[in-house]
Formats: sequence, structure tokens, C-alpha cells
Amino acid sequence: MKKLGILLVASILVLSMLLTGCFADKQKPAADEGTTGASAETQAETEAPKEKTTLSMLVYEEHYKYVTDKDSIAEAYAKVAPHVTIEPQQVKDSGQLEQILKIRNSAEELPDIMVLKPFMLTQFADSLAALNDTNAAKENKFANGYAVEGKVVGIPENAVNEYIYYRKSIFEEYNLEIPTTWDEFINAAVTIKNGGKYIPIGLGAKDAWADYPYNEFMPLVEAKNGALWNAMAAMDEPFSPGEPFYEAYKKIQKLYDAKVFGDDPLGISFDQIKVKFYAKEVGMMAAGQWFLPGCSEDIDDVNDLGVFLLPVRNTKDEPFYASVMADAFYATPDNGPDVEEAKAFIDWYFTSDYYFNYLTDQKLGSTVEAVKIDLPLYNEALGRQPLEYVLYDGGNKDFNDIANAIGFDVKRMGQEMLAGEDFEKMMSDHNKKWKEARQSLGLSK
Amino acid sequence: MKDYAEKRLLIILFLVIPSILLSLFVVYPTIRLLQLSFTNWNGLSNNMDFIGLKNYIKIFTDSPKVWLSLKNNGIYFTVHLLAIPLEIFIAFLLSSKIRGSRFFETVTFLPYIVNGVAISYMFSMLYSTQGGTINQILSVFNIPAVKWLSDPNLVNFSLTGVTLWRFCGMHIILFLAAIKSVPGDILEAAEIDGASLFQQYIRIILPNIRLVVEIVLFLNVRGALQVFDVPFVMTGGGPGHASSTFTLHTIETAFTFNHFGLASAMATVLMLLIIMISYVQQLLMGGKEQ
Repeated sequence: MKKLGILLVASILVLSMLLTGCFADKQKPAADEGTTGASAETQAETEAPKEKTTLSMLVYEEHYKYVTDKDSIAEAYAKVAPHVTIEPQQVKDSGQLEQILKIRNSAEELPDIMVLKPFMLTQFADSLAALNDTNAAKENKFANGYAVEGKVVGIPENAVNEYIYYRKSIFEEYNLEIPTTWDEFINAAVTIKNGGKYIPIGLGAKDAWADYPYNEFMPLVEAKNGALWNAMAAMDEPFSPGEPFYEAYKKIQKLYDAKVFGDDPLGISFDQIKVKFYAKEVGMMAAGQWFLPGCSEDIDDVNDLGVFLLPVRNTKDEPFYASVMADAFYATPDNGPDVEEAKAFIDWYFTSDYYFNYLTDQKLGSTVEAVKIDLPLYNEALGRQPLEYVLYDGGNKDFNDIANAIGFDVKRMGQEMLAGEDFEKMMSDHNKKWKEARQSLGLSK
Repeated sequence: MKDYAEKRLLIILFLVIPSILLSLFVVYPTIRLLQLSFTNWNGLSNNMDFIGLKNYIKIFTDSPKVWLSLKNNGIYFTVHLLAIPLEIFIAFLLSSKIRGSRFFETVTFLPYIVNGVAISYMFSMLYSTQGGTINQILSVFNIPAVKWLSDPNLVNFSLTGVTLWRFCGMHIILFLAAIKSVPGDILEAAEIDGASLFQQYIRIILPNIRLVVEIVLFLNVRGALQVFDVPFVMTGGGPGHASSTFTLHTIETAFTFNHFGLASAMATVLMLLIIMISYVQQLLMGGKEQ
């Protein structure tokens, strides 16, 4: 009987542990969810004016290293709001971020602070708190431009251009000028290729996302319209010759056909090719401003590093268009345990020295009117010619609905183009699927 | 009487606890999966509409990527199937009294216990066109570097090679256990009668391990249709969708393109496919014996 008793107790314990694990979070009152390790009794005794709160903050790997190791954001905010503990969490890339947020959203467990990409704003708009009334939104140059049906759901931290990073010494070795048209760009790459010493352009397309400066941004620049995705959502056949998407992809195909990405661009990851660029085995790489801090740390001679804007135009007579993307949108869920604390944190962040220091360290452009970041390397590139900007728009609801219906993925398309897929067939297939999706979604007139 | 009550309580406990756990973690999610497969839930919204069989119809009539993925799964299935006779033969060799057979048994089984992600990273390095071991060996024979993971026509075979290396050992150990259970006197008698090693393998071993062969065949169907970690880590389903498998495509459908309803239907179809193919295999095996 004793044995049976032990078995019974053990079984009950195991079951209760399992069930507690499954349901405990749901049963906790919302107000208690954010409390830290301090026990309830201790809190009652001290009668603190503000209840202790922990705000989870989901950021990318590199950002995580900065906010934990380089300059602790938890410590910085504790000086302003001692009752709040910032708890950073990390994700690898935007793909993983999107997946994690979807899973956590379905469990109503979104992080208190999250840093979103522009295309995620529409997707998660219903679950995010309105930030229209925050000072951070009022002082931000881009926040209102990215509002979803008037609701500011995220406040962009930085504004970035896409650049071609290049090794000056390789350009000198082959007497190359900085290209200002698409053909000049391809010719420069071909010249390096013919030299046989270096990989002309690094890509790392084993990671599908790595081709985004070409496959995601070029159509918008070609269209001279940052909201091209929305314009496409209103068309039946946006992949037809003459349309910006088709024309941009035709140019990209020409670049891919020139075989200037080394022997096996699809077999090398971005991290692998990045290291080769650091080691001066690669002449050029297309990437955003996020690429520079790594270069500054790992390239022996930083003075050998130059940047120029991707020249999408056909002739020198045309205006030079460049993309700008407001990025890293700070958002908080509308059903979070302490929305007001999260908003207060966002307000603090965009007005703090911490924000200025972070942007300076990461060589990122500011989105706040009053905060100016000096970026000499980029200023040189931006000052070479008069520029017209297109502001990247992640796409409205119609676009997202169509894209989801047909599995529209420009980065995968880039991989397929590199792998030798029939270009014209790819475009006509997309036209067909796009048109059908518009009809089935009731978007056709 | 006391003993009887104790026994009764013990039986009830052993039945109730697993039943509760099974209901919580298997039955309920399966029912929920079936329920979702008849909806258009996007994974984000609080609302979902019942859309009948539309998701299932879409899978079979309007999803070319599903068929492409299934074709890729077919490569895993076929290659692993073809390897089974070889696995049985290796097991048969290991079962005979050869020097160091215990050592070989351990070595054979080792890949199975190594983490799948670690194996994938290791093979990524072996297959690499940038100084990867396999291409280095080929270069000794003046063979140009092969794009093992970036050639759409080759990538699935390269990945199947990895899964073969990983799971072969486990199959061999299962076959070995079965072969060892074959009574020694039958083999001894055959040997006295002058049967060769190959004849013993065909006439005695194979018919006597039919049950284990069936189990391995089932594991093969399940493994081939559910293969995920190796292509996910090594290629992410690329280049393009060239190495996408049914499971990878299901995850992409749900998490990238927000079709949780459709993805649930795909998961249901996968479950039915495994049951169906296993049943057909069982029928074929039974038929052969008769």
C-alpha cells in the first residue's frame, strides 16, 4: 500500500506539473504577468509607488549583442524607470522573426517591445497598440507615413539606403570608375571577372534573403515609386513587358547572366561571402547600412572601403533614383500586460542619448528630426550626384493578400533566376497567378 | 481484498494518466488540426470561416509546389527503399563471427544518435564548393568542383545521401537484431548442406525477418514523407524551391504565406498518405508471402 501511495503522489505531481506548465500563464491575472522575481509579499510590504514590471524586447542577433554586451539597455532604462526591467530576447533574421511573432501572436504572447520590418506592419496591425499619441511618433519623420489606416503601429528607428560596398584598391587595379548607370555597373563587374583574381560581386544567395538589394528594391527604384507593391495590387498583369517589375527583373537577369558572382553563388551563404569580402577576395557587395559596422571591425584597412549607390538608371541623362527604407519599427501589442509602460519606454528610447549612441555606433541614419548622425562615408556617396528618393512601402492589405495567395516571394525568385529558370515563363506564370488571385479575392473590377 | 484493490487502482492509474496525456497532446491537437483544415484561418486574425473542402481541393488541383515537394520526397523514399537490401546484407555480414563485428556495429549506429542539425552542418562543409572535402578529393582526380547543394538537378540526391548516412545504421541494427533471432541450427544445417552465404541470405534470412522489414519499410515511408531538418538547415528548400519537401512547404504555407487552414489540410493529407502507403506496402509484403 505504501508503494501505491508513493506512486499515487508521484503521478499527481507529474500531472499537476504538466498541467501547470500548460495552463499557468493563461490563469495568471494580466496584471501579475509582468512582475519580476520579487515575491508578492515583499511588494506588499514595501508599498512601492509603481509596480515592478518586466518588458521583454525582441531584437535581431546583432542588435541583441549591442543592447546586452556593448551598452546595456536594461541598465540605461533602469536609471530613468527603476521599476522597469528590460529583458532583451534575440532572433536570427527577419524570416525567423516573422515566424516567432506569428506563433506568439496566436498564443497572445507577443513580446512587450518588438522591432518589426516594414512589411510586418500591415500583417500585425490588428494586434498592435496605436502609438499616435506618443511623443516618439510626433517627432519621427516617417512614423505617420507608415501608419496603417491612420493608426501608427510602429515607430521606425532608422532610415537606411542600400549601397554597393566596394574595395577601392581593386577598382584602382582595374582602372574602374564608380558606375553611374546599370550597364556601367555590369561592365565594372565583368572587368573584375576577366581579371580572374577576385569574385566581382559577393552575393551569398544560399540564403534566399541575400538577393534583396536587387530583387526586392530594384523594381521600386525602376518604378520611381516606393509604393509599387500597392500599385501592382491594383493591376491584373504587373509582370508584363513595359511594367516596372518586368523591366527591373530584366536588368537583374542581365546581371545574373553575366556570371559575376563567382563560381557558385547559390552554394555560399551570406556569412561566408562576407568573410571573403573582408579578406579582399571580393570586389563589391550590395547591402544596407547595417553591413558597415561589421566591415569597420573586420577589414584591416578601412580606408580601402568605399560605397556608392546602386545605379539602376539606363543613361546618365536620367535622374538618379535611390531607395530609402525606414526600418526597425518599435511596436508593442495592444493586449500586453502593461501597454503604457511599453509606450513610455518607446518615448524614452527615441529621445535618449542611448538612441544617438546606438545609431552612431551602428552607422545608421536617424528618423528623429532633432537627432543628426554624421556618416562621412555615406555622405560622400550621397553627394556624388543629385538624388531623387523613393521611400520603401512594405505593401498594403490587398498586396499582402495577393502575395500570400500565390506565394509571391521575390527573394526565392532571385534564387530561381540564378539557377537558370526560364525568365519569360516565370513572368507569364506570375501574371496568370496574379490575375487569378485578384479575381478570387474579389479585387478585379 | 486489499491486494485486489491495490491492483485495481494501479491498473486504473496506468490507464488514466497515459489516456489524459494522450488526449491532451495527441488527440486534441489532431482534432483541432482537422477542424482548422476546413477553415481559411490566416494565423493572425481572431476570425475564421468554414470553407468546406476548398483547402483539400486546392491541394490536389491548384498547388504545383505541393507536387514538386512530393516529388522530392519521392527521391528520399526511393533511394532509401533501394538501400534496404544492402542494409540487410550488411547486417547479415555483421551477424557472422567476423573479427571486430561489435566495433563495426557501434560505428554503424553512431550517425543515428548524432543530432540532425549537427550532421547537416557537417555535410554542408563536406559538400561545399569552397574547399569542401568531397570536391577537394575530386580535384585530386582533376574532376571539376560539383555544385552538390546549388544545382537544382542534384541537390535532392545530395540531401538524400545525408539522410541515408544518418538512418542506415539504425536500420542495420534493427535487421541485425532480427537476424540474430533466427535459430542458428537452421543456418548450420544449410551450411552442412552446402548452401553459400548468398543462398543462406536469400532463402533463410530474408523470409525469417519479414516483420522487421515491414517495420523498416514503415519507418522509411514516415521518414521520407516527413523529412525536414536536413533540407531546412542545408538549403532552406532552395535554390528557389528545388529541394523543398512536403513538410517544408507546409511550414512555408503556414508561416510565410499565412494560410494556416491550408497548411492544416496539408498536414492531414500527409498523415493519410503515410497510412495509405504503409497499408499498400503491408498488402504487398503479405501477398508475397502467400
